[in-house]
Parts: sequence; structure tokens; C-alpha cells
Amino acid sequence: MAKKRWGKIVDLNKCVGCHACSVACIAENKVEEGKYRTKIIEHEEGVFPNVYKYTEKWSCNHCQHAPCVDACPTKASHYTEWGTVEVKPELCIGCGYCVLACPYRVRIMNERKHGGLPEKCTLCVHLLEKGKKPACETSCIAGAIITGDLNDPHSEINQWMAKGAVERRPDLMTHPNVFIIPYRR
Amino acid sequence: MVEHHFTWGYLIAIYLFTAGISSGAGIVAAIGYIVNGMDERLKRLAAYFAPFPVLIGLACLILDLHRPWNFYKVLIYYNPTSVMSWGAFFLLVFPLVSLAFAVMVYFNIDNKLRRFLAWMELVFGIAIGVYAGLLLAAIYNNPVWSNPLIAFLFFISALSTGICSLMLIGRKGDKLDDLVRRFIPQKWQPEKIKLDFDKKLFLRLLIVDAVFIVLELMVISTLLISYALRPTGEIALGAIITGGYYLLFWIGVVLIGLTIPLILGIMEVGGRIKGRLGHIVPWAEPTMVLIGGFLLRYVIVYGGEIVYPILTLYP
Ligand code: SF4
Repeated sequence: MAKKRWGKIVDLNKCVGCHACSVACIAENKVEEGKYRTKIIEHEEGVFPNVYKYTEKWSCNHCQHAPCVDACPTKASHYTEWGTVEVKPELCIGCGYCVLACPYRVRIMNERKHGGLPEKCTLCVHLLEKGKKPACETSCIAGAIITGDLNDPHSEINQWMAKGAVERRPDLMTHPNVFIIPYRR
Repeated sequence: MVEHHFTWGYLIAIYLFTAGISSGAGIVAAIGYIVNGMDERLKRLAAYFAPFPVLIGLACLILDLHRPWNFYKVLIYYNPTSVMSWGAFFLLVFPLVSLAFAVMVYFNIDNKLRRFLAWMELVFGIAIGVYAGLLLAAIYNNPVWSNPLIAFLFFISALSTGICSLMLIGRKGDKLDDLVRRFIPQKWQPEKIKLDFDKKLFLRLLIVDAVFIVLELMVISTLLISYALRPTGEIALGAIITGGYYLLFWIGVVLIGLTIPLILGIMEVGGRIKGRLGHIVPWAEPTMVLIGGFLLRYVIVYGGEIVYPILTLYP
């Protein structure tokens, strides 16, 4: 069987900014109080009087060329066999360099008393591997999130890709596995 | 809604500062023993002093870790793409080399090994001085840090703060020597050498330091211009020269850390300072440079951190 490459697409045209994914993620992954692995960012664009507003789900992009993996001194931040980026707790010294190196600012340092690990989205690989869907996707009220195997040409995620999904900040050359369908008015 | 958590803070600033002092002193000592003609007192004190500041810095680095019990792993597992991984290696070697060198200098052991150690101290002294800035400069997409000039600036400041700490301890060189002697059995003690800096040596150091200060002022202005030329310039300049840290930057770094010591230094060398002020300058000038050196690191570390939440997500 071909290797899997888990990915995610967020359709900003469907996202209504209800924070359901943020909350579901916190519940599923027992995220430390006050911190978010996935958050909602509000965009305001246009020039008065043609101003518009939309929201965007913002979390780890699971880059295939990840600055955090490059920066980690012990290789605790690494690529998994599914193409996602994760942290090995047994190697991590909690220096926080990856938190600063991430150009998308999605990592947050945990308190020492909670383990001191850099906290971020894992793409809920533990659920994906069981054939389930990540907490954010299950909870999304608008159906704006899709996860799946990018290497499988018949997967639903690849049909979404055809709808004009793009990388976030392609100028950074991080080649993420997480895409967005940009907001169109 | 987006709450901000500082990842790095004053402990990192202290580390950058102390590593700089060690680097400066180490380089002075190494050059002193490689090239002939440097003042005996200066090169001796530099060799004795070099290992210690960076040890304080190392302690701060470890205190700043969120998983300090895993600290030793950074020495076992290497990642060639990580600047920090290289730095860990430099920070392991430099204290060992400089301690060994200091002991050999103290007991007047002069052989091939010491000459080799002098070269090692030079190489690793430069390495830890440059690394301090590269650690920040290697982080890209940060409007304040991602700038190679930071490494250059920190290195020059390292030389200047290194020399200034030597000027300060040079005033009490003999007392320090007596203190160390208390811990060494009588029969092993090397013969006494005068270590207190005299006025002439002090004035020479003032001139060298003035050159570094001028260089530093030039690099700071280049840095600010190179910020301004970038699309993120407004954010970077907003963090450092007009935002929350502007007082620390303009008064702490530029005025107290650079301009006033430069003026004092030039006046002292030119013999324009007389009377009571004359007693103040010898310790005021280096102290001010040291304060400025620390504040420079402080402003840059925190300046880079506060830009995180205001960063626009798309360029
Ligand atoms: S905090 Fe952990 S995962 Fe992140 S760079 Fe440091 S050692 Fe690597």
C-alpha cells in the first residue's frame, strides 16, 4: 500500500467562526488551560465602504519542510511516517526554539508543571489511524474542514483540492500539508 | 482573544550578555598569548576571567528550559540544521578550553598544549560570540530577529563589553589574586605578579573601546535602516524604537550604553577631565557600557517577542 500523507483543507467560505473546533480540540487533546492548538483568526479586508470580514481556522500546517524541525537541537521535532510533524517527549529539552522558529506561530509552550512540551496540533493522527475523523472536523458545524490522505487520488480531500485549495504563505517555502480555500466575496 | 505567552525572556538576555563578555575576554586572552607584545597584566586577567561569565549564562539557559531534566540530550543528539545544536557544542567546549587555559596561565606552564589551547580559545571565543546573535538571526519570519546584522552587532558588543569588564576587574586585580591564593597550598603558589592596571594601560583600553563603540553605533544605524527597508519594517521599528521599549533603547542603549561612554572616553584620553570627575570615569565608563550591552540584548529579545501577536499573517 502506498504511503499515507495526511492533510487537511479548511474552506474559508464555509467557516463561520463559531470556535467549535477550538473547543472540541481542547476537549479531545486535553490542552492546557488558556492555550489553543487551533484558534480562530478574524480578517478584515477591503477599503471603506467595501469592507468585509471573514474568519479562518489557524493551526499547525504540518509543513513538509518545517522550520521547527530544522531548528530543533535534538531532533525531538520530527516528521512522522504520515507526513505530519510531531514532538518526541523523550528527546525534547523544552528550549522553546521551535515555538519561535514556527513562522505560522502555532506552537505554544506548556507550563513546566504540565510537562513543558511545545503544544500544537497533531492532526489527531491517533483518530485518523483508527479510521475516525479529527475532533475539529467532527465538530465543525459548517462542514468547512476536511482531512484525508493526500496520496490517495480518490479521497474526498483531493476533490476539495481541485476546488482551488492553496498553501498558506507559499513564500516561506514550507510546503504544508494543510491547505485553505481562500475566501471569495 | 489571542493571548500572548513569552517564550524567551530576561534569562536569555542574561545568557547573551554573559556569553558576549566571555567571548570578548577570551579573544583578548587568546590574542595576547598568540601575538607578542600585549600587556602582561591584561592578558593574564583576561585568561583568568574568560571562563566565568559564560558559566553564569549557561546556568540561565538551563533554568530557562521547560524540561531541564532532559538537558544532557542536547549534547547526545545532534541536528546539523539547528543553530542551537551547534551552539550547544560551542558552549560545551569553550568553558573547558578556557578553564584549562586559565589554569595553565596561572601556573606559568608554557608548552605546545598551551599554544594549542590559545588557538582553540580564539576559535571558540569567536564562535560563542557570533553564535549568540545567530541564535536569534536564524529564526526567520521574525521582523526583529531575522537579520544577520544582529549577529555582527552582538559580536562587536561582545568585544566591547569584554574589554570593559576587564577594565573593571583590572582595578582590583591584585586583591583578586590574593583571594585566589587563599585556596592554593603555599608550595604550589606561583610567584606574585602585579595585576592592577595602571593609568596608561587603562587609557589604551579606553581608546580600543571607543573604536568598538563607534563601530557599534554604525552597525546599529545600519540595522535600523535595514529594518526600515523591509516590508515588515514598520513592525520591527515599532517594537524597538517607538514602541514599548523605546526608552530602554534610546536612553539605555544609545545614550547610557554608547554615547556618554564614548564622550567620556574621548575626554579622558584627551586629558580634559580634571578634579573629582577624574575619579569617576575609570569605573563609570565601563559600567555604563556593560549596562548598555545588557539592555541591548534585553530590548532585542523582548522586541522580537512582542511582535508575535501583531504580525500580520499574510505579507
Ligand atoms: S522545545 Fe523541544 S521540540 Fe522544540 S526545539 Fe526545543 S527540544 Fe525541539
